[in-house]
Amino acid sequence: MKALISIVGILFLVIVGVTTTVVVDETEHVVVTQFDRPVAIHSDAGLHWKAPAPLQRVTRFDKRILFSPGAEIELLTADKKNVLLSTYLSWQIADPLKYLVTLRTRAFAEARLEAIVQSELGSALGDLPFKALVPAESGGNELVQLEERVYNASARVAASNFGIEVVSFGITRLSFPSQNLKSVFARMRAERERMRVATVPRAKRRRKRSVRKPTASGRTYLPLPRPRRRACAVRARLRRRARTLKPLKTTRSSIPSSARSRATKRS
Amino acid sequence: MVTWVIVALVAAGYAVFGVYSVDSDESAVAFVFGRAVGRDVLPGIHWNPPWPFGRVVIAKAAKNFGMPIGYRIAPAWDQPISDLWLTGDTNIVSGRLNVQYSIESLTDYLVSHEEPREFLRRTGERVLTRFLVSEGVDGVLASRRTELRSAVRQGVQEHLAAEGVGISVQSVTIEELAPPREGRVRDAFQDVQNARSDRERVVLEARAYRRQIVAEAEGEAEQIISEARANRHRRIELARGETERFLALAREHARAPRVTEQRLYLETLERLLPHLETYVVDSEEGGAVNLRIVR
Repeated sequence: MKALISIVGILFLVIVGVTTTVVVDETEHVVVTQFDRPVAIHSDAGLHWKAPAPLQRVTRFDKRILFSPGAEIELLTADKKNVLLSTYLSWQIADPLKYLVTLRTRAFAEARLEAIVQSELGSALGDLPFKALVPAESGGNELVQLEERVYNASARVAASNFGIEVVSFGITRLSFPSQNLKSVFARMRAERERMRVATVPRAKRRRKRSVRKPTASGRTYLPLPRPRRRACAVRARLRRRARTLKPLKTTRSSIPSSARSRATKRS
Repeated sequence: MVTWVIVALVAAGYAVFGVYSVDSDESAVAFVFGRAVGRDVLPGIHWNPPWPFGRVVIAKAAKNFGMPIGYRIAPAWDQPISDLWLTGDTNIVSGRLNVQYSIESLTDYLVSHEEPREFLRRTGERVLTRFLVSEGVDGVLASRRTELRSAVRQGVQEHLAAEGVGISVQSVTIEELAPPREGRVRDAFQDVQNARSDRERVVLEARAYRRQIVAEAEGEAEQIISEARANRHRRIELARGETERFLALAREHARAPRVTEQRLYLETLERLLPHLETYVVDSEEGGAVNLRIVR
């Protein structure tokens, strides 16, 4: 009998303990509401007290930085080009009470945030021509500026309306709808074809007229112009010299007069 | 009395469940009633109130984990990941990266961010997009890979640190960075590469051929020139020889003109009319008969 009483007593204590305490995790805000009116917020982790169940209820909110990847948005640029954007939002519940009053659920919060982002992105993108988004020259700053613009606008609205602090906003991908992708690929192919044709040396495109191989500049190589020319020049010089060749070691006077008239100049 | 002993034993047995150990390459966070009482617990043996009063999370701290960007390792049931990225000259490349990271602070990793890994992946995509959009396609594919890796690594690390996620990036590797497979674009790029290497090859071949021809021609030229020189020498020597011969003859003629003339005459006759019998008559004896018999 005594044992039964003690068991029941322990059980009762446990039930009381469970219903009057709130375990707040490191990652949570806990709002205690009494008849749908918030009476306490616990943002510090640990054990806290509250009145038992029907009197006071507990709503938990994530205290961490929350991550909402946006769906792919298709938007029009100023020059009527279709662009696909993938984005994400990092946000935190800064004011749990305000959040509780205005949004309450995660799904609703994400929907509202996404709507803000989409409208801001749409208007920002509508001001820019597509060329401004992808300027290889100006170092891609347009993208950063776009992110900043959307971030500032959404942070303002979220903080004032919903008690949400937007931590960061990022554009994770720029792309085209699949139809436009096909035309981009076709354009890339055509560009490469142009480059390929420009690379082929001119000589290869000429018909083969002779056995001589073409060089890269397209000229055919003629062998031996100079050396043969030089040899001819040497020969001509030799002939000229031979004609004016003087007899060796003798002058005209040393040839006997009887022989002189008969001597010929033939060498 | 006995009941107290039993209770003490039960309590002790229950308390044993609270003992946990942390290895040398691990880190742990201990919670009591949701509050993190032990942050980044060092290796060793520790105690924490067991469930339901407390819990412990232990994880590898020194190990590198990989996060793929642009593709998935395991098949997923939500939206497929695209590996196509826009470049600055409105071209598209296919890119897949792998980011190696480690948990720098387990507490931050567990407590500060809802989805640290997903955030890492999206940040990687974001930084990659930003880098590629400021580059041209040929630069990116050929020469800017190192810059891409370091830009992604630095950019991702900055964003992670700014949000206090507790992850630090160890390295970024490029799994693939190439023209897209779709639309036969990759083949077109390959064709240009082939054309360029063909041109290189043709130029080299032509140069080699030229070298060969020039060498041969120079050899021939040398040969012709030395032949000509030899010819020159020969002709000069020949001329000299003829001159000497003529001078010798002239001297002989000066010494004995008529004899020499006669000799030359007879030699010439012999040469021109080989079948001729020639008689030479000495005309100094007897009368002044000077007969030349020609038969």
